[in-house]
Amino acid sequence: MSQYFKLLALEVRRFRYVLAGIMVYTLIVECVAVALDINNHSRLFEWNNDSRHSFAEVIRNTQSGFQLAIVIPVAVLLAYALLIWYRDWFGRHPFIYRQMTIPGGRAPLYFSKLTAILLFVFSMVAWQLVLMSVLRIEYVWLTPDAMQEAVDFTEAMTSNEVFNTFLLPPSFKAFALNYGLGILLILILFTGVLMERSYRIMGIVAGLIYAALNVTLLILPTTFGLYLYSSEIWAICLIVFGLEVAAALWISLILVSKKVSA
Amino acid sequence: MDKFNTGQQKSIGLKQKRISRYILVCILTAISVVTLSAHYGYDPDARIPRFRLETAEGDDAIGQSIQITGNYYIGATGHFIKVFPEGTEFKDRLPLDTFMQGLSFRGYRAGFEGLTDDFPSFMRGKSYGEFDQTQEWLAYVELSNAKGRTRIKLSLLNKAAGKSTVHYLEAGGWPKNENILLEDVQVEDKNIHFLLRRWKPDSAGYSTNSQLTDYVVDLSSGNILNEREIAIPGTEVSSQSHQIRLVKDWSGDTASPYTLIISSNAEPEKRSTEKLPQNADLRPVRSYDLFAYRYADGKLEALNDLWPNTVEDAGNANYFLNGDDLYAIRGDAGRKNSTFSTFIDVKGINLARHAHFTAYSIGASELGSQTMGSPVLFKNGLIHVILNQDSRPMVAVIDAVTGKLVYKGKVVLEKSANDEEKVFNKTRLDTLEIRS
Amino acid sequence: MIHIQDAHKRYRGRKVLDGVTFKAEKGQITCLVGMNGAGKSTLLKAIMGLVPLSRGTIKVDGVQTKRELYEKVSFIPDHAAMPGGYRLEEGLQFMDDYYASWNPTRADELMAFFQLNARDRVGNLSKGTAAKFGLVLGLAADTEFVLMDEPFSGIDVFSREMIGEVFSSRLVEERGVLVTTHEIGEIEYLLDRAVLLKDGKVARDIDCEQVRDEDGKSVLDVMREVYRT
Repeated sequence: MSQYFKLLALEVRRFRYVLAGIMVYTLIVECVAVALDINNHSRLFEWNNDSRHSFAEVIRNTQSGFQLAIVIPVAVLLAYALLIWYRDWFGRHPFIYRQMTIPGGRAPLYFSKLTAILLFVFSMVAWQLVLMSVLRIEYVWLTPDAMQEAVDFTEAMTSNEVFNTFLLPPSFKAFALNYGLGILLILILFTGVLMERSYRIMGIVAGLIYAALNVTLLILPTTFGLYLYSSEIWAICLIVFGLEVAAALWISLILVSKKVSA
Repeated sequence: MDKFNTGQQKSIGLKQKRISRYILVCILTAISVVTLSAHYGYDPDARIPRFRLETAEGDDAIGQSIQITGNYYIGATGHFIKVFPEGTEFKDRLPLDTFMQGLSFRGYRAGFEGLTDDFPSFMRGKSYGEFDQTQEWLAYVELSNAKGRTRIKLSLLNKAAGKSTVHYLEAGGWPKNENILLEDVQVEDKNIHFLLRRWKPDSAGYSTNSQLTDYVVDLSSGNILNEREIAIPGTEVSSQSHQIRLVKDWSGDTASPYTLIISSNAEPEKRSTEKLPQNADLRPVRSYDLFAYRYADGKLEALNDLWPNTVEDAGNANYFLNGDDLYAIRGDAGRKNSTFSTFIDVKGINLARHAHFTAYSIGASELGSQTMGSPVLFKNGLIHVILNQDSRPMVAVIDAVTGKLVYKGKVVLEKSANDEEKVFNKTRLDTLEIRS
Repeated sequence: MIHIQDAHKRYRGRKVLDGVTFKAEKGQITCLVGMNGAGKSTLLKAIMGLVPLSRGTIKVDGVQTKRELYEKVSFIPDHAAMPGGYRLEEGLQFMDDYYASWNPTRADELMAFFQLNARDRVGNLSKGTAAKFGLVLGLAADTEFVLMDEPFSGIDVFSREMIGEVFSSRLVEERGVLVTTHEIGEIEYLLDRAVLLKDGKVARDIDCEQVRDEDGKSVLDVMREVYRT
């Protein structure tokens, strides 16, 4: 257990500059987007004194700014889900030798990399929430008093389409669904990486087939709409999800302990 | 070289570093947990407001069976909500639900929900056909295909015994190229009637030789007892000019011994002054013939003498059967191509006595609104209509015979707030349903 | 004792190991000899569980499990296996964190002996320095066995001398050492046993001193016999 924590701390420390980098990037892009929108509206406000501009409207107007702010960190994290393994294999210094020969088995290694990625993802999501407060302060600071309009936080949060659909949906159930699927995706990705590291090209083929199988099995219950009720389909999908998570963990642990080649 | 020590000693400097390396992990974990729980844990219910159907006038008991469904919009995403006297229910539809709703072809039907809750194993997989029920029986009828021939699949549930049976009926040896439509199903005492319309396509693809047949089937054995052909004048003509429409018994729990058949013909060379949407041709002028068909003895009664109908009357009216009573309710919505009317005309004929028993008109303003929804719902001899005053939905229930208001309900917020208008602006409650 | 039995390994279609069996005893320096690509590195990695065998068993002191293995066996690979951005002291820290058998005092002494600067970065070391650091990482732990993969390849003469000194010290004498090399000349005098691999099999498994005394041959002579035919 302590090996796991040490390895987790190690993985987090190795990524700290990149993580800080994408956090700063998101901050800057969103601040600039908000500032630009307020500036645009200020000009409109000069013509029409009645046209107030609430924080929610600012958010509604800056969809593409937020998309830009979010898509790069997402790409970086996705890439690192692969690189967190591959960076230690290739190059002149194969650190994977050390990671694979630590006393205490390979499971701590696997879980430390997995939870590191998840920690980065949730940290970025939390960071985005924090940023909303920062942006609100920026709004209050930049917008002339006469142009401001009060609005509650929920309204602002739900004005952003990316938030509503993917990142921070209004209901916790939707959040759990989205991120549950995201975690499964990472698990499948890791399994694919370990398959490739164990069986090279055959491993890539196996990994792709495995991923396709997972997706198919998860969607399959939804095609039974004629014979099953919604609640039953939901229950089956949930069970399939649980089994897929378990299978991914089990396969990955076996591969990383017995089949992987340094 | 023996100077290499084999003793074990930990240096102090290392211990300090050991603790500091966990700091980053702890910070990130703390931020994530605290921020996300604050966001999702804090007053989650505030996101979708709670509504309630409140009685403004009249009998509470009537309001019990009413529910209004629609959407509450957060951003551009609609969240499906149901409002009734006890409160609000939201399905909290997840993307998966929406995805599945798109996959399956059935929509949401209030009547079905009640049946599905009461008889889950019987109702499984049944969504395309017609159903009818009495105290004793629940009947589900579908058309199914076997070896290129259409046949009726009758699923019967004896509610008391909990037993269900399935019968397949092929009557008259229907050949392959016939088209068959199940027009109506009616349980009548110990029998069930299927009204089937069969037609043959002609060379141009229009239907010809429409034949309406009433098959009388015994509920307990599933055997066909009788086959009655209903001869409607004009059915020999091709469908471009001749159409048949059947009015099913919508009242739900009273078995009406009749069904209404509307036979219409496009009058040659006549066109109305109204344009159809999308710049199509001018709407043809049609003449309508109304018939009442009695299930018990197969009698077909012409109603035109009672109902000297104009073009506007028959075409735009909705018909409801309540036992022996036939109501025609017409609003002016159809004319304006919208779903809201400013008034409704109600006319009633008693089919057993072949005589009028009521006729009146109600305007939306009488009920306190600018518009009223169309079509209306009819149940238990009561007409239910949704009103939309300042986009705050209201429901009015009128006694069908007398035209008197017996109930009025309005949708209110559970907790009244200052910005009620904003909340209602994001709501679109426009579908009236009667809970079974 | 490290006991390798009937090891088979296929790599990219080629049979790298085709039934290799031999033992490496504690207190002895055993050398795996072979031409390039003979499977020497593969065998060391297989002992360390870094590479799975297609067939065969490897037992350390009669036991096959991996859990305690890494406290008993050290591995010194041919490339310094620490991230290039790490400073040497961070590498030492790593070993201290994860291995109970790590001896930090000895590590400091070895660092001093090899004249290594703990603040240097792994990525900036020359090949010789990196090799020395690898030895620090491998030898400072109190392990019973040490596996070394090509410890002398590409190293300058002086570094080689220093490494040679370490080989003759008590540091090594008390343990079992398994070395791979294809340049046997430099270290022949240090070896106790030599296992010669050819075509994925053990061609000769000799006791060096015995061969020298009885047949008057050096290991190099034996090598010529095996590899030049």
